[in-house]
Amino acid sequence: MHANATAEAACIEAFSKVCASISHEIKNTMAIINENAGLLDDLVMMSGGENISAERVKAVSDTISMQVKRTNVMMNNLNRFAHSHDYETGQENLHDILTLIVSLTVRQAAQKSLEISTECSENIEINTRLLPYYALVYLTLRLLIDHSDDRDKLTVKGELQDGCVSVCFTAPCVAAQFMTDFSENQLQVLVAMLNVESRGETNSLRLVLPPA
Amino acid sequence: MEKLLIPVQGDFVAQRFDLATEIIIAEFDKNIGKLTSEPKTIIMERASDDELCQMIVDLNITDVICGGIEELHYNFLTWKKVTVYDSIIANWQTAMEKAVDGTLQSGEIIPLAKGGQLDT
Amino acid sequence: MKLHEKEHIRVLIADDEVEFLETLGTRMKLRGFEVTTVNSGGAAIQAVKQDTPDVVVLDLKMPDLNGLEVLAKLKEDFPALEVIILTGQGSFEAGKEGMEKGAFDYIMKPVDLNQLIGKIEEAYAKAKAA
Repeated sequence: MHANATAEAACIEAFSKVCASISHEIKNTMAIINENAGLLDDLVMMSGGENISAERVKAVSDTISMQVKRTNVMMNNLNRFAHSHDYETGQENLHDILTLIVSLTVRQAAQKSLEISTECSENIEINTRLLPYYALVYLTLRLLIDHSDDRDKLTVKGELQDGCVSVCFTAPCVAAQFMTDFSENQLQVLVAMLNVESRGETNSLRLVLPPA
Repeated sequence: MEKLLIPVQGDFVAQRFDLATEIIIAEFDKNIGKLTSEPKTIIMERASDDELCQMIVDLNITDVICGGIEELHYNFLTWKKVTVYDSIIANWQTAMEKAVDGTLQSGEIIPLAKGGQLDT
Repeated sequence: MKLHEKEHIRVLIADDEVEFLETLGTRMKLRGFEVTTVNSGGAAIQAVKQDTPDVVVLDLKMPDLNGLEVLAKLKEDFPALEVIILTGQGSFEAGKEGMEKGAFDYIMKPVDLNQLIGKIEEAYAKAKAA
């Protein structure tokens, strides 16, 4: 009961971090749209509604539509993360999960000018409790980003190893302190719940999910 | 147009800014000294002086009537150019009327009208 | 052509959202401000050292140094410089820290341009009066 409650808290932590990050991003795109709408107003006011430069209007409309697309991608990502809770367990493609999780951390990575790359074959499927799994991968990556130095290069690699699905996070910053923080973090309840084995290696952390 | 916020407890200005969960918001015109809309009540999920300060900024509140308020929050609100009438002990409606007509002062204790009852 | 001329106020705007920065800069130039734009905290400090503006507008979240760190550094070297913080999220904590570090004010995104201009003019008047 207690372990479930704590795992639930970890899932809520992941979800609230994703929501906070995406809502901040949306504020940014709204700010750009707002300024561009204002710029259109300015152009109309300056010209009295006549002879507005088509080129300038086109540039503004391109910017607005690009920001709408950007917002749409963010909302789709949030939507996918939210739907991971539709079923208690489910099957999903690992490549898609890792791509989604990495894209959910773009803002945090940008804050530190980090480069995060994903390597994963497109035919690996996992069958597990999806929301806790999403939460585990997401929170591990966030922890790794927090421990990284500016301009570090991180890799998230998904692969099959002896029938188990392994996700390996590699970064120059994965050191003793990170591993200590990881083993003391409430992420451990997710590790236990999902029956994942976590292994610290030189500059990397591996999460191994046994076959369903 | 001014916007007034009062943390309240029952019929009174809440004794402590940080413990209030019920808020009254009213719009008024200081030039004519009258309310321009009916006061609205907002119930906060939990008492929090930080969240109350954020709400004051988000809602573009210009005037706050309150009882006791921590110095940090008082300084923050005055930094945000909000007029703060603090240490007010009064029925909130009377305090609001005085703020609207420009006669309310910080530290004011407004006795109850005859027949009024103190919250116990 | 400009929307209206006013006293020549020199403003530095720092924000990592380049499109927001450029559009805001253009709109302010149309209103007669002399605007310089930079897209990082470090570049903001550099720009102030090279040519001190009248007012600085800083985004809170930027790579390298965030707005509050930049504010603290600027206030160390240029105590009279007035700085307005822009923030994407409403947070009392950020506002309080800005106040304690000597910011003139903080404004939330999306920005109401008239409100921002009003704040810049107030900050400029304060700096001139000092």
